[in-house]
Amino acid sequence: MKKKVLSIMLTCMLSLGILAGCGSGDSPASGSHYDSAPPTSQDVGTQADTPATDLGYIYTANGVDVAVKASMEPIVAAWGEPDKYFESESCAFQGMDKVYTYGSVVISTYPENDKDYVLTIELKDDTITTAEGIYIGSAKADVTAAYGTATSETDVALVYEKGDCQLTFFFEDDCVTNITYAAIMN
Amino acid sequence: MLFTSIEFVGFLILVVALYYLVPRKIQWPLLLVFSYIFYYIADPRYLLFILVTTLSTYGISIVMENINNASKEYLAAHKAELSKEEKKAYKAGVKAKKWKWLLICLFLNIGILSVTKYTNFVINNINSFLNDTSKLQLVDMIVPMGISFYTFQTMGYIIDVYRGKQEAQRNPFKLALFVSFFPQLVQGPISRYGDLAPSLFAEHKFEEKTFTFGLYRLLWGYFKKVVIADRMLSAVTTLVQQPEVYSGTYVFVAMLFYAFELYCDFTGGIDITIGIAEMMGIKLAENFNLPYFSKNIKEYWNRWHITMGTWFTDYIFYPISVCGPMLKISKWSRNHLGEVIGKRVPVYLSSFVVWLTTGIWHGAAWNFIVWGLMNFVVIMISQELEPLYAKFHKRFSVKGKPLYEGFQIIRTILLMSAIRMFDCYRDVPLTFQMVGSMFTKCNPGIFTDGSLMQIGLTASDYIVLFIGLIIVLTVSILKVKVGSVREVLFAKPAFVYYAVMAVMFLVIMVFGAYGVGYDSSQFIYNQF
Amino acid sequence: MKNKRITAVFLVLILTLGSLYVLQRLLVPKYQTGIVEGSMVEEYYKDESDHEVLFIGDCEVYENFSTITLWEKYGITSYIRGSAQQLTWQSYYLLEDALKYETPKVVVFNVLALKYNEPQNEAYNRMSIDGMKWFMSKINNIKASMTEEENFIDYVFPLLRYHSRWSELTGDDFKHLFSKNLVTHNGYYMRVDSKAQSEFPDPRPLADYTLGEKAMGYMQKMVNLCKEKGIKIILIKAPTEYPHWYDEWDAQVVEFAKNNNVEYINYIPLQDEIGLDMSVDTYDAGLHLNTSGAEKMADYFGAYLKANYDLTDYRDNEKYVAIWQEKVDFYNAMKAQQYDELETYGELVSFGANAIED
Repeated sequence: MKKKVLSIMLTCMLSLGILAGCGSGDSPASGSHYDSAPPTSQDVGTQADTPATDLGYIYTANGVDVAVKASMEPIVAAWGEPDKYFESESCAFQGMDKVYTYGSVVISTYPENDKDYVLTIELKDDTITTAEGIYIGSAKADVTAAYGTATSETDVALVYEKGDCQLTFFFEDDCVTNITYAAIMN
Repeated sequence: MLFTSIEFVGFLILVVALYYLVPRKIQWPLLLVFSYIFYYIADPRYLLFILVTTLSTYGISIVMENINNASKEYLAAHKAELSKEEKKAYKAGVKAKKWKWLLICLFLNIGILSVTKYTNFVINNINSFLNDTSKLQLVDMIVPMGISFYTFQTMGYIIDVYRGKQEAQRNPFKLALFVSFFPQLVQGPISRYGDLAPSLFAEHKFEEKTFTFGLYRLLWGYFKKVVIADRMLSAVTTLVQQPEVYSGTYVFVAMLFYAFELYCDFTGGIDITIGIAEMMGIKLAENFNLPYFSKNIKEYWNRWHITMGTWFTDYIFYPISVCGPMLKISKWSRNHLGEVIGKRVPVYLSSFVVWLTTGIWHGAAWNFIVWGLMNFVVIMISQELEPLYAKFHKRFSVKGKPLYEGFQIIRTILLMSAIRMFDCYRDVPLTFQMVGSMFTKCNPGIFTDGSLMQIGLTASDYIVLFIGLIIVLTVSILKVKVGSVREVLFAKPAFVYYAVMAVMFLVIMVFGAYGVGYDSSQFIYNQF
Repeated sequence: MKNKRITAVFLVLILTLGSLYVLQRLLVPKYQTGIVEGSMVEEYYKDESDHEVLFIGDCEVYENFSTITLWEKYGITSYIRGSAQQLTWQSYYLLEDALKYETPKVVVFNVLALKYNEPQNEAYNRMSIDGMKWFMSKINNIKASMTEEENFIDYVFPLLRYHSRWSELTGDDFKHLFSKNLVTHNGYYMRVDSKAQSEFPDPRPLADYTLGEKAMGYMQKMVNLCKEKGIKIILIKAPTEYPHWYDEWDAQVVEFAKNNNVEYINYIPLQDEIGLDMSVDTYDAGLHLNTSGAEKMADYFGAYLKANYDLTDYRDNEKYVAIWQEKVDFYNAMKAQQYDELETYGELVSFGANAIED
């Protein structure tokens, strides 16, 4: 009998150990949604009317939409050779971080599966405006009028978050000095 | 917890080990506790739904049985005094009373199922029907895991009690275990109470053969699921989610890939389920009988998702066929439409309803409804063509010849796979368009120009898939030839028996498409 | 009969476990050529002598300080416990781990990693953690470092993580199944090639320059641990300028150092004093120093250590001389080989990116 009790306890401990060993494991099975979107139309009925993944704020120029986490390939194809280009090999050869400068727009990318995706988009002078009409030099009030209440605010900036995008306006003396779209990475 | 998650493996080891270590009297209560824990881990809110279903079914089954018993006693006591007519009237009254209770139970539980699963579908359709003049908000609804399966299982039980075919289970905890038994909770099979109860509540002593047979079955399931199905997943996803890029011959590729993926996913999942139960000496109903060896669609549906098919036959097709209104329709149509057509009307109507509900049961989307009805159409057409086939077979005497049987099998697989494309694409028109493009757009060059290397599978993936599917095919043929492959292995020396098991385990560990770099994927049938 | 079956079960079980072990060894990356950064953490345990100076940090330590120069010029025994993108908490746990084996006089921590306050990248995590021996430090390190996609159990059984490498196995995987070569020089990663620094992109402004609590907290823990053990800790920012080290960050570290009464030196403004010429002293256009740069850096830093800390000159100690002579020989041999390749091919072929086997 003692042996049996002992072995029960041991088994419990072993299994709990295994269970506990799964810290940040994948989410529990919700049982009702295809997280990785496999091929069934199970959720099609509800998905049809909603847009695809929300990339958040999008910057558009020369007919090309530039969104964070979007592939860099079509942008380079549309905009051509950048004015300035910088690349840096990340440590231990985990891919190349690249920075493209097109006039006063600077786009940086991150590598994933041998492709480059947009990490940040930086607007650096008043020749360009965001889709919502804000440019370098706009007043703080213009920004809040166009974008509403900020997600967060610091001494120097207003930060708006939407989808996977964090849009930051930097101010100096109440004037926008820099606009940056940045991908929110996990 | 997905079956393929490490958490589940840990959970399983714990449950099975405890199952054989605790006193045998508390084996089934242990399973109940862990089934609820399993459900709780998935989402605590789910428990509420399963409890309502369990308790309502329990209460009503008891009430119905009490009515039955009381009426029997009454009839026995008053045997002498009652006339034949009085007896008949009394029986009808009893039946009506039971019917009332059954209706309450069905309404409540099918109500829960419908509301959780179909509310948003209905809202979407109303919105689009009214051309966006109505803007009903979608509801943020939780769909309890496995609700389609356990609701059907419970409804089968209550109908059997109503019919007097099944004694009501007077122990609510036993009924609760029947409803919630964790291996089958997520994707079936849909068990009948009478089949499952004896082994579920029995006391089981550890036996090498039972346990290891279960383990074999489990490993075989994991092999199909993790090594094959999950590996194909990314390719199928790529192909069907970018229809504008992948049309023509790609659709054909997607169709075949999905046929194998779904087969390995679903039968693999069921093998895991049945294997787990078997390890504990519990016998679950078989859900598949080598469906891809079927020679026609009707046979296919007798061999694929069997427990669902028989459920629909017993609890939908049969009651509809013999219900009052249907008998009237039958009579009317025979009188007015003639014997040939009149005879078919009730059968067609009942089948139509069965396939419509089958489609709806699979999911809240038009794709599934059309998919169900396509099956109906194909089955009816092939039934109508049967005389023609008979003539053909007589004329050419090909029936039973291996080559012709091979043709029949491939034809059935292709036809079922084509219909199944409604599962894959975004909506119904697109599915028609894509399947159509298979015939209109000619790009077989993709087989040779390396295009198939761009859809998420590497050369080594193709090798694993090829060998994997050969193994599945070989084992299937072996099954036809020898009956039980496991029995054959068991007859071999113990070392061989266990070594084969160990090799299976190692193959899954190394060649499984799991972990970092692979999307962890649900079983497709978890969704229904 | 029954006994026979039980024997068979045990036999198969043992064979299975054995196969799993061999498979695991075979399938985990060996980090022997090309990407050698994954070998660094493990290599530390092979070095049996003790060290008076222990560097802790990311690539800005393991590529910027030549331990051999420190020895040759000053008789300082040192080791670099660094790995690629080593996060602050990883540095803390590696320090904690190292202190189980030895108590150096000085610990040097490079502060660049403070910019990261969250787990970053699975690949780097594995390179930093897999090589650690199993103690609490490793367990805590894993818990602090895991990204959302990771599982603890994958660290316990690396096979679960690396099983799919079966299709990418190279000669190295078989050759180094049970033994690995040294790839660093007491943690220093040698690169003799040179690629002049070019213009860096302008630093992006940040909405919030506050260094993260988690990162700062672990640096505090490092300082506390050192104080507890009577070890001096020096905080440094290596002299390389990219990724950008913001003044606002610098100010916070200065403040931290003051509050904790420890030393902090930012070497970026001292490039000239060190003698660095970024048109020749870097191998990747300014991100990291090459060997000539790392030797200059070590020379400068060694002189500083010598002058300000009570370090032993072990060049008089026969035991140490013998140990270090071997290291010096290995260093010179690798250096010769690299220069040789540069001359023959114009670039390195058995080191760095070109050496990564497909």
